[in-house]
Amino acid sequence: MEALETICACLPEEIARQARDCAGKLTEVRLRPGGRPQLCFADGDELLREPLAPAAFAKVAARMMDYSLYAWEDELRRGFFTLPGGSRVGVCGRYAVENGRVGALSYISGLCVRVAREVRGAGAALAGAMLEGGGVKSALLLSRPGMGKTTLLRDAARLISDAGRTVSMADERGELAACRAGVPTLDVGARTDVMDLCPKHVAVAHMVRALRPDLVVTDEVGDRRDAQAVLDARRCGAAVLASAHAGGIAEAARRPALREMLEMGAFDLVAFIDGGLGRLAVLQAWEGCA
Amino acid sequence: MRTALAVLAAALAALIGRSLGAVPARRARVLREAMDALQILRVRMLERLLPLHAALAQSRFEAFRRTGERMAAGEDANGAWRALLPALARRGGPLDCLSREDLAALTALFDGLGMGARAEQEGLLSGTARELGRLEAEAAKYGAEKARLYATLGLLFGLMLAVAFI
Repeated sequence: MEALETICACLPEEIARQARDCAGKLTEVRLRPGGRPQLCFADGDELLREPLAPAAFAKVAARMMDYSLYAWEDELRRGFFTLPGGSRVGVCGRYAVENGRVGALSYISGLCVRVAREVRGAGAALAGAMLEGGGVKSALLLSRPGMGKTTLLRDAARLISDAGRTVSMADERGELAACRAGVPTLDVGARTDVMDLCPKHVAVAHMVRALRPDLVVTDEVGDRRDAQAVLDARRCGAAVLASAHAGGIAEAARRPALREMLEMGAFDLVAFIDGGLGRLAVLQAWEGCA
Repeated sequence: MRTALAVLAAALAALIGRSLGAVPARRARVLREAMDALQILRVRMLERLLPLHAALAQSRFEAFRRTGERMAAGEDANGAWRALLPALARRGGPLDCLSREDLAALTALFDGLGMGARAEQEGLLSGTARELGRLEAEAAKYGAEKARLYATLGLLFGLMLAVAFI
């Protein structure tokens, strides 16, 4: 699994070995300087025996950032960066804060590496529903964190792209396509253009103007600017496939930005992942907020 | 015949003197190339935000390029530079004309490259550029003096040989 190998290449040998041993069920690797490394699974975790020395931890962090900390400042300010292969690394530490604005990172005190997975077929049901009837329907995919939203979104985009539709992907965090030097390292489809590491409201507007997509795909819409960008894309005739954090459809409808999109008819379908990683519990036509 | 040999000896001696004087001039030239490479490295690192190994590997300055190529295999800048330094600095290497002070300035650069935020890297690159500039000015002045001295000595020695022949 390429994503896991990329992570293991940055880890000390013993931790890498243990991570590979549980590759099939590993969801996260959490590291803290002086602390015992933590391997996380869907149903629990394991603390490794030997603590990770601060110097070794610093080396892991430096290797993950290609020994180029300066190049990741903007990402570090947002609290994460993405490895080749799509694994997101959450960063925790001491930040300089001035006038409420987060500045440079002084010390890293923790890394949370979420293991990316490419699961072909995960998005089949959603893609099928979106392509039913000849056109491309818009869909909103909801779930709680860590339930496989991004994996499912990526695969649905791939399937729709391979079905002959032009897809534009706003990959703000670099997790969907995991581009390296502009080239996706994950399969997002033959007819997919990716704009990565750019705020999604900027990327969506740019792609709708410049690329004439049949479908715009974006992950984790949540604020007013995202909502406006989605609605503008719809007004320009592009379908939208977006995901959002929510514990259910009712919860999503209570959040202002999501409610606005739902009320304005941005989405034809709503899907909710529950009951297991990537498992769609609900996939239905959206008939309006109650 | 003797006259011809005398002229040949004088010319040869002058040429030898001149080539000995070229060594300090070469040092100044290599330092200038390093400074130019540093400017371009700054743009690639801090404006284009290329990863350090890529920014170095694209350099025309051989020492930077080889360090970047070595880093691509997974080493940090400091480790890659220190591993390469003996080969770069030995006779026939691209940095064989540099002094210990010159190499120390470049080593201090690689000790900190990639390890800090943008502002720190900017400071490191600027500081190194200033230091290399000072060393280059020194090398250029020393080189010019030595070139004149050796060329003159060579010519004088050649004339002595010529007189001896004649």
